[in-house]
Amino acid sequence: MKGSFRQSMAWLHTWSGLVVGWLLFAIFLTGTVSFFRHEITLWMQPELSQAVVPANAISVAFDELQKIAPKARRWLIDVPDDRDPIAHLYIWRDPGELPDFQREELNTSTGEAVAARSTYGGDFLFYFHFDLNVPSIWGRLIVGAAAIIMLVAIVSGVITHRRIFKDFFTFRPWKASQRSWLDAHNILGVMALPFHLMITYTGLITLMFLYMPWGRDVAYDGDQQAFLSEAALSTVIPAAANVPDRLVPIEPLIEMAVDRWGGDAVGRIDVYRPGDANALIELTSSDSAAIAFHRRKILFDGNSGEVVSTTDNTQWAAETRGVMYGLHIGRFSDPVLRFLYFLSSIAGTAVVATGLVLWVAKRRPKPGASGKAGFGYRTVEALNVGTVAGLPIAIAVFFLANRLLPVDLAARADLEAGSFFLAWIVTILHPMLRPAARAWIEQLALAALLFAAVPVVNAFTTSRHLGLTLAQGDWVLAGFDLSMLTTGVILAWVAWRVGRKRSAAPAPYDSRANTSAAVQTSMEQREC
Amino acid sequence: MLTALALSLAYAGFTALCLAMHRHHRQVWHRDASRQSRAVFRIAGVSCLALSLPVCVAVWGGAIGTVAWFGVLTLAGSALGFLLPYAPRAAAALGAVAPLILAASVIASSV
Amino acid sequence: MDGGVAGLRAAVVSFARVRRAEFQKRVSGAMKDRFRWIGVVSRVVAAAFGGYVLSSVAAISLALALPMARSEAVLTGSMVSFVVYVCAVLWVFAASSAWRAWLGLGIPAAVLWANLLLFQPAGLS
Repeated sequence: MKGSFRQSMAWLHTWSGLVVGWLLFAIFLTGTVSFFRHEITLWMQPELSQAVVPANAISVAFDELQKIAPKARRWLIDVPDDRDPIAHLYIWRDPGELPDFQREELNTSTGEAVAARSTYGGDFLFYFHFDLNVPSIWGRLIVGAAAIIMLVAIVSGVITHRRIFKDFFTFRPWKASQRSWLDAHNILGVMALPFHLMITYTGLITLMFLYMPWGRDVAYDGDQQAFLSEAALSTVIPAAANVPDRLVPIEPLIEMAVDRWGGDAVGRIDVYRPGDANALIELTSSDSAAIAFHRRKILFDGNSGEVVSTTDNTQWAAETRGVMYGLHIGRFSDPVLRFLYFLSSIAGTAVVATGLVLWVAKRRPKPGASGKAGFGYRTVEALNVGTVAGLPIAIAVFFLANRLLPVDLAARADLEAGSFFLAWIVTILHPMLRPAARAWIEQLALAALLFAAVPVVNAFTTSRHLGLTLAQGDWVLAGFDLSMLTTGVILAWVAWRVGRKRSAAPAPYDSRANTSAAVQTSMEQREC
Repeated sequence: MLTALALSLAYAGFTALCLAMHRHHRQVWHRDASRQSRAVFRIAGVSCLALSLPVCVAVWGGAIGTVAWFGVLTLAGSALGFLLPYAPRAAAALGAVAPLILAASVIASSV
Repeated sequence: MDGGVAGLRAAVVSFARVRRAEFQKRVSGAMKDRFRWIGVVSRVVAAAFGGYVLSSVAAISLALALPMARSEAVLTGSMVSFVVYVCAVLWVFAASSAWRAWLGLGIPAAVLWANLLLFQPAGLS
């Protein structure tokens, strides 16, 4: 484009990064916390805390379904496990019978529907991560476009990073601010590079058929169901025989499946046409068993219990796609691996954040030259504060709202979500009214305060406070509270550092102007 | 315990590769690395990194273990990168000492 | 008299030449800026839409041409198409001119499309 290949890649990296930077930060941050969405949901419904999953959980679920929907088109049971102790039941009925879709969260240890405060829980942040709370498919399309641009930014960033091996371990926090931010940006990007590439690419794969349906549509002439059957991605629901028949007991089927799968648990059960002579029961192995998502299935005749077909995914491409899906969702991970995922994801979020900060730092106007900074520059700076510091504030407000809103308020789930967006709007408007440096400190300090307040508010509004949960070994709630405290402490430290640097400088731009001029003339500057 | 061993091996591997560079060798010992020590560091570094993979597989199984290995590398490399500017000697010493201690305790506990 | 007229003419001509050169430089500077903006916009359009078209055609071509089961080919083609998209975007911004950027996308897309029309008429809608 202009000059060498590397220079055009540097240009591309800077501008592609800026255009989607704030959006990507939001996607990355909410994605990061989504790895713990079940834990977040449990914290946000403390009434359910310490719900155990009994050995006969699946039978309890079946009994409940027989009670509320003895005849239906399809039942789906999301089998409870150690991370999500609630059985999620879904019922579909034929058109004409109401309600045609029904959903129930079942506490299998009591056999009763979950009685806890109404909330979207961690699912709110999870859904925001891939559809931005924008209606219909538009949210997903926007996220998909951002993901492609993220991939472009990663690859162009690697190409631009001339000294990727020499600077592999280079972090110089003592240097002028631009250089140390660049070091941080580089080292976080390179150390977790496999993760960044993987998570972005697999993110696109999870919604592959929304973004790129043409291969399937052309090859199958639009017959989506035929593709799904051939790829063993879904089962065709049989027509009703309209002859009533009893379902075979489920326990022996589960035993057979677990045995066949070498000990892997059943994660999901579909029953097609329960109560009918054409009933089918499909068992799917648990996501936590292996990387590939929904890896193995067995289809049984619902009335006789005979095996109709099995899917062990010996098809290479389908298995690859399953693995990619599973890698992105990370449900297979145990606590240690989940923590490693979380750290790498935080690194990715920080890469985006440091990139945004760098963009502003590089273009900071020198004092005396043409006076005030341009509108574009000030907008970018305001959006930086409002997103990098503001989005965490919004998340903390979301958690606080969960504890502060009355438990029996009907619309509380939507009010919690609303408070998240309201807080975010305020944090974006605030830096437009304050000088940027002050805005950073104020928002970071507020974020620290709000996060630290979460366990405190928890102690005052519920009985599941930190002292109790630590003593009882309730690691979900205790871990959440401790994480909130830790986040608060870290943010406070960052706010303090930013405040100290500002007060140490004689005038807001002077010292930075000198150093940035010096840095600009150095060879290193051509890197980005 | 094995997880900690995998982490310490990865950290040691990165430390060795890091010290093979003049820039970082100077951070710790205030002089450039010699040709021989660079070669030794590089071999030791690659070996430790490679060794951490089978340890990860031992903890998590084949496929998941490989995924975990990348995560372990990320954590170890980042830890070294952020420790180095603040305490270069401690960072280097940790790389030498940690895997030895953990390897010894793993062997001791399996005996 | 002649010398004076000739001298005057020479002065006028050289003055005009200088002014014309300055005018051209100023105009071409401004034009270059405008061309530059058009170039950038052109490339962004090429990358966003042209890249999507190329990767879609690639997905369809692979889905129909790969020697594996139909659902497998569809999956492989679709997974590969995202890599094509990223490469297309990188190409567009690395190309030495916006024209080359478009050609670099258009020619492969046209070739693949022609191949689909000629040899795989069955699948196309």
